[in-house]
Amino acid sequence: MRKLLFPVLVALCVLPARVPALPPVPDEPVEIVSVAATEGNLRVLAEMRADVLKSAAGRVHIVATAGDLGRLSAQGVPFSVETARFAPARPVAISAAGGINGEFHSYRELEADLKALESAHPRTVKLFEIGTSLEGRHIYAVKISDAPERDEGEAGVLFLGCHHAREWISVEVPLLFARYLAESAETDAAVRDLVGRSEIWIVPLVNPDGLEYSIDVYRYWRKNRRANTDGSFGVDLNRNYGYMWGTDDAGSSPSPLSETYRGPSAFSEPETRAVRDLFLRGDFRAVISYHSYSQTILYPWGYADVPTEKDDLLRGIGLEMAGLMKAVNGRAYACGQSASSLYVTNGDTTDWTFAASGIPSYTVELPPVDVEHGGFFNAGEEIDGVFRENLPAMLSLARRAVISPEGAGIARREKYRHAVLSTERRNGTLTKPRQEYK
Amino acid sequence: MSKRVFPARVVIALLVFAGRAWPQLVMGQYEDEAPLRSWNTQGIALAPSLACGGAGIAAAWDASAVLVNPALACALPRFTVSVSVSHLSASLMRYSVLNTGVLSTPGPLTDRSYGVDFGGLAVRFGTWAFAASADLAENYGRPLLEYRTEAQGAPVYSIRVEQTGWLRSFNLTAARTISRRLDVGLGFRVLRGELERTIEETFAADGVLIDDGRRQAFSGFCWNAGLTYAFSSRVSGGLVFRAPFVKKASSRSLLEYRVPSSGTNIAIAADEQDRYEQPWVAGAGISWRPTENLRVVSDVRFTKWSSYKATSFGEPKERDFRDVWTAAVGVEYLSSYRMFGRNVRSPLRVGIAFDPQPMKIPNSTYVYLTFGSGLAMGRLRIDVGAAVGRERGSGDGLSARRVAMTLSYDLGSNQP
Repeated sequence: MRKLLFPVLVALCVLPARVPALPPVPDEPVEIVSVAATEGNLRVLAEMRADVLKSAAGRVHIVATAGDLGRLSAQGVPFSVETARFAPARPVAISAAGGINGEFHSYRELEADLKALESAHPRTVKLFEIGTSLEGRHIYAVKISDAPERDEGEAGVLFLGCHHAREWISVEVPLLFARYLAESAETDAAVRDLVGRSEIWIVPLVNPDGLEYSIDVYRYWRKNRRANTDGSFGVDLNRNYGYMWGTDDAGSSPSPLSETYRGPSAFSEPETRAVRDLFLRGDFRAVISYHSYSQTILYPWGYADVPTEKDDLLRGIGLEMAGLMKAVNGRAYACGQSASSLYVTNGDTTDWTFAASGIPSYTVELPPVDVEHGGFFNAGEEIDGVFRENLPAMLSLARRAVISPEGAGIARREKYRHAVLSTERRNGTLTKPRQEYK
Repeated sequence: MSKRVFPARVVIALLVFAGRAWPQLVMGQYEDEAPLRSWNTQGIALAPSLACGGAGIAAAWDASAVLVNPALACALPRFTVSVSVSHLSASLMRYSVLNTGVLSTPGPLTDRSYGVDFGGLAVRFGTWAFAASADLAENYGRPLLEYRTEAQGAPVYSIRVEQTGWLRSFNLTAARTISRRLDVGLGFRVLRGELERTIEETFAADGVLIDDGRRQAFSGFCWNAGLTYAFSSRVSGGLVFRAPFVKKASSRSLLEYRVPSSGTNIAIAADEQDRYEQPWVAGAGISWRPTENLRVVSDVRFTKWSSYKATSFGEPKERDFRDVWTAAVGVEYLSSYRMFGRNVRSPLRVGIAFDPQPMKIPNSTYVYLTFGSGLAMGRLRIDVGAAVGRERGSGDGLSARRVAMTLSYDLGSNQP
């Protein structure tokens, strides 16, 4: 028995160290207190560099440590403890425990978790409803920034999940990233710096109707829940974007019965319009759209096996991300141009984002690698591991995009972006970007 | 109840079919927990009531009368025992994976079942009356779906979808004659049942098997009350109320992805407690005898479906229901003649019933034409009733039929 004790202790010490840990939670208790917004009180708050939460109805709410409370008392500033009126600051409970979808999120579970995340981190997280699905569900976007309620015009990075209903893991990775950023921004200087200089937008569930159908009725459902005119259901949202939409019938299908039905027109679906409108409103410098399966990083073009004018850059960033992913736990992600690495797709998300702005746009096909290892199924225990192996790549792309975009050669094509916007205003949909950007 | 579901071969959506298509959460009448034929199931109607449009708030024919109006126990003979068998068929266009995007058919499929659906007795002691019975209150069966493809004789893909289920109720009733005109009654019902749905899918080329199995065990308890009032020797009326109640479900699910060749086995198991919050029901009925041989019965019932709530594996489900009024009218003519040297009474019954369904989209209503007859010799009665219904509103032309045969034996007169 003693012979076993030492190796076991060593293993217990070593194994956790191999997994990148989430940032530690500070133990110092804090309270949320309010003081009257008088000139004298405000001067005291300024002197003690109080962490101001909000100011409303003649009172200022601050996050106060025990030391802060002592200073307020010493200065004779009366305050009211308001902590109970706010959601618990941390940890944020995860709703997606159990149920027929196991550890994966349903729409309602996701909605609850996003709201809890916003409540727990009001200074860095703001939840937006960027659209409504066909069946009336909200499409949520999380904005993570140092002043998320304000439009500071900072460079943005966009992470999208679950265009395809059955790809449940693609909800979890961007959601966990949002949670990581929100929590780390309070404890990790590098993340705080990233969040302070950027707007990171995360849309973890683009296709809520399809996900619910996949959970409740048929696990392998892929499309949204459009009731097509021929009695069939669904449009493939990742074939419904405006660049090269329907350019041929190989990269998408004109048949409503098909799994890759592209819809009656580009951006015919409210879900893709929600993403489009968000993208066109912001100043995004990089995009990742998560899918599964195959462990592959794909970049434009998808509509044809021709390189973009930034092929070297896209491949370089993609290979760098693949290397970062592999370094975590050894799982290899292939990297290549979409049309040649997987199959031809037209009207997909990243072809459109790249065509619209010239920014690095990636589709990341999450694990497993093939149907023999699960196909569109992932075990609940895999979620955290898949997220952790993607995390360094997500952070790397975000830093590259927002901190030194010009130097990295991934600045947005402003001129073209304006052309896209004017096309939007004129036609309502973007179907044929200018020839020079094919 | 023995149940038989007729398999239906279903074709993958290659056929363009007419009719409106609704988004996923509006399957029409047939959500998984929807009873076959109608959501409006307050108490099972045996042959005589069925033939009169299902009306039964103010008229008692057999021991099942107390299911709708417990006070009717006082209107039955001193001792009544009844047993019933029935055949039920209903056509469905949209349920589960059928015509919601996975499998499609050009027209509705029909589910059929038959078996014993009621057994009960009622007794009277002076001004008191009691009844006990068991019945099959709801049926959750669906037509079996099977589809498979082959290539050169070898299987490529197959899917099989099956749903079965039922809800039984066990009833105890106490009623009392308050005055010559007024009877009151109270009933208690214990509910037990189950629902099982399985989807088995095989991708033979990849060696992938996907099994999605869900099972719910139902339990519940509810009470209902009623009164009857005799306005005259020819006219009586009744009022009934069924309290809202919760049908609880112990739900279990196992979703498995298996690839035997590689040893991959990914499973998600769930074990949850669910609730189906059933609405209250109130109704009024009248029974009028213009002559000794002729009786007219009529009911109206209100069901507070807007209060219906359901959860599935812990998550609330969207069921945007509206309140519903149902109505039924029936006429019974009693003829008498001699057969084999004995006096025989034989009623002829016809009726009509309007049965709106609670979902808002589609706005769906069944209209039933009902008819039946019977034979009574001494203390033994045998009745046959049928209801043939056609649905309007969904555009799918759904139909429903029920045929019941009831055997009753009684002692004593109908009046206390």
